[in-house]
Amino acid sequence: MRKVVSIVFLCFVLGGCATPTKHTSTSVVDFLYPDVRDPVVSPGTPVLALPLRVGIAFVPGQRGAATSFALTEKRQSDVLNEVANHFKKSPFVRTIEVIPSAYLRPRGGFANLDQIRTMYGVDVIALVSYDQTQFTDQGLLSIAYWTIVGAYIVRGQKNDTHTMLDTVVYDIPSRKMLFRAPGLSEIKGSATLVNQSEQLRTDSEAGVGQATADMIKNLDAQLLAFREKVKERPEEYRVVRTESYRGGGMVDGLMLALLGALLGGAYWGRRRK
Amino acid sequence: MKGLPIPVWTLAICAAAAVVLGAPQLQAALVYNREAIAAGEIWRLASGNLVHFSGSHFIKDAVALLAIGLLIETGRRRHFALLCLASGSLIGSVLYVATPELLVYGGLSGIVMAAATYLCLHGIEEDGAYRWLCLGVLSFLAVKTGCEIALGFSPLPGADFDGFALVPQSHAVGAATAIALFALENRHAATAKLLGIREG
Repeated sequence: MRKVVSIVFLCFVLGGCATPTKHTSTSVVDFLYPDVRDPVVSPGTPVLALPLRVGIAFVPGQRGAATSFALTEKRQSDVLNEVANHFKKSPFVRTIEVIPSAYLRPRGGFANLDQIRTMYGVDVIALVSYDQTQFTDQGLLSIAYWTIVGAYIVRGQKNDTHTMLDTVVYDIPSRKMLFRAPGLSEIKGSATLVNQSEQLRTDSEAGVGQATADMIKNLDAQLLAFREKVKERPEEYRVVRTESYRGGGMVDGLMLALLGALLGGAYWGRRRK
Repeated sequence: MKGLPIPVWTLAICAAAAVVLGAPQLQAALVYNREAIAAGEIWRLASGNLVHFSGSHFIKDAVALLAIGLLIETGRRRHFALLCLASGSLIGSVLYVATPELLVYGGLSGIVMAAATYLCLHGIEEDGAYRWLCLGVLSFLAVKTGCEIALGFSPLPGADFDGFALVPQSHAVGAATAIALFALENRHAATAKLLGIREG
């Protein structure tokens, strides 16, 4: 009997010290270059017809691979819409199409992108991939689990969630990568033993949210850097402006407020006279 | 009691822009279009200022022009029409020469900028707090336009352009036209004063 108790105790202690890790990811390289026997794709010179018709999609994961808690089909669509809405009003973008993941095949490669190009009429595609790792450790407080009640009320589990979303923008006809922008997030949290899986799911969703915001910020910066690159290296990127590419001047909100102050100031001055 | 003068030019320009906004055929005939200008339709250099690409684009420009135009015309400044005509034509001409990559342009904001600069320059000549307000607004507009030209976009948070690229050069040309007109007016005033002293 004493032997059994000792074994159970040992299992419990060893189990408690283990640090389970959950890792989920998708890879642009696996998607675009699935077969190593294929010759390397040599990119041509992209001809960018402004304003661009852009598609945006999540890179599909490998068949049978674990998927992220947070990136369900619905959440993927929300993230893509968030990015699309941010860039919809850019003068460089004519249309931005959110492409459901069902339209992309795992390891589909450029052949799959050519199909998307025909179906949606896009020239440029933004492929979003993700990498999320969740570490779980037990802190000193986990000793309270021995009391059984402690497993319900003491937050002895320590969780780290590292998330990276990465957007790579490709010109489909020339197979040339235009630019990329990552979004990073690191979330530290704690949980009781009982609600551990729920807390991990919450952290996972929060990680995706933070990484999306960071990625949009970086996309803005990378887009600006890309504009400069296009100006500096006209031999590498040809830009054609179509009639839909318009320029204009517009009075912004702050300018309106200042003009309102001028109006108020002038009438106040005239009334005093 | 003598009433304030009606801001005829301001109302006329805003009404014309509103009519153009509601008539797509007019928009196509009046918008600044580089290829059409090259083919001889030179009225587009000036008329492009009356074309707006969306309702919000028009409303923001028209509200600003109404506010400034009202102040200038009720302040009995004589050269508002000249300012609008000169700045409108110069904006189109300078864009045609200096920005060959720009195919289509529209918006009244260059003229708004000219009017605001003109108003502030005259405001600086007045006394009291209004003078400092004008000086502050003028400085802000100069810094803002400089930043926009240097960066190629508006650094202000929430600056949202409805699917078209910002062309800050139009604002700079508008401001330069106002400065030139103000300088000419002052030169004439100084000459008249000088002549008056000599005759006296």
